[in-house]
Amino acid sequence: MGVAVAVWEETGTRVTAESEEARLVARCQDGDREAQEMLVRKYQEKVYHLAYGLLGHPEEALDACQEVLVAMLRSLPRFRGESRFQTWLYRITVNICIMRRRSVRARTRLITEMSADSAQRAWQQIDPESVALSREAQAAVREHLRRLPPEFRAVVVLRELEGLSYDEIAETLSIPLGTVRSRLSRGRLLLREALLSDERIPSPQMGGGTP
Amino acid sequence: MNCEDLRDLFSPYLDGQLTAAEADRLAAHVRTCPSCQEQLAALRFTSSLASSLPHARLPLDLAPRVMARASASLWRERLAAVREFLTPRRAFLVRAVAVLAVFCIAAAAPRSRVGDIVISWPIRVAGAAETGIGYLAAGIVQARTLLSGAGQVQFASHAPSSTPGKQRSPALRQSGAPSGGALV
Repeated sequence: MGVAVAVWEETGTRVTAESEEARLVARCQDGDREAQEMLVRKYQEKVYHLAYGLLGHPEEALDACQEVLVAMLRSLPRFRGESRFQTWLYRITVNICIMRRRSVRARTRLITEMSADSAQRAWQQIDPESVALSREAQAAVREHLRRLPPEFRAVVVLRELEGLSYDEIAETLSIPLGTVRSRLSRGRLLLREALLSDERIPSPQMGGGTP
Repeated sequence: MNCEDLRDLFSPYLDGQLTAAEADRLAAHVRTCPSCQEQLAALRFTSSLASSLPHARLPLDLAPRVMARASASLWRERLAAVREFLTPRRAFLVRAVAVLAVFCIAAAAPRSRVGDIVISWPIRVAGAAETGIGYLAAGIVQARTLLSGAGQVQFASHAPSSTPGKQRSPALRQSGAPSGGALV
């Protein structure tokens, strides 16, 4: 019962939020600069989070995030509302981050614009509640995520870091549901193998092996 | 179903994507199979590791930059990208490579002898180009004078001297008359 009510309330708020968002998007498409700025501010955190998950480097994620938001504004006229706005935006984000050639230049570009001190503090601005892993372990997980082949990385990041449902992942990546399932399965296995052989991961459950 | 087949279902099992029957069968097998038990635990742990990564906050508001970049036209952005790429050191390198390339071409090009002077073809091309540009510049100047009002005046005053015609002949006769007269 409780669950059902929670779901109903969630869908209720989601519907109003979506219609509000549709109005905002429509204003942006009409060329309202103020609305466009609002849209950027509304989504920059989410895009950054996803980009960080996909790229594994804060600086590179920042650069990619900016690129995604510019691309979002430029391609707004082509958004027809066939999918949720966030799904459409995530698709752009995945495409840009996956296509991106990793470059040292990109990593240093924006950093130089901020003072080194504020940048330093910025990277440490991490939600304290979610800090359960040691820094070392986090770095290891990010590193192994980054090393996953792109098609698996995209699915794993959307599922594990973004918490998207299988349907949402399928829509975001424009792939069938079965492919989501198989890629996620394979991606997790690859990640598991990589983490198993990494001593930075403290894992009592994973350490002892059967003969 | 053997262990390998079942392991393909571990991931959807963790996400609650299996049918009740499938999930029950899998759970029943895992209870009796230590190897699968371990594999499933490892996969669950992997999943929890990835999903417990801390939420990194965006370190700065990107809106002003994004708005500026989005409103700038695409070619301006490309120009900015080139400019950004051309740091002083890189710009120097690009210039050095360009100069070197010109020298290499000049050195490697076939030479021809004009009298005592050996001339390589790039120099000839450069010479021809210079001449061509000279002609072109002269042509442009001519065209501009022709088109402008001042040019017409100049042309009109210039024309009689270059084109002998009927109007001119009396003047010539007049001016030439004394001498002609003297001759006659």
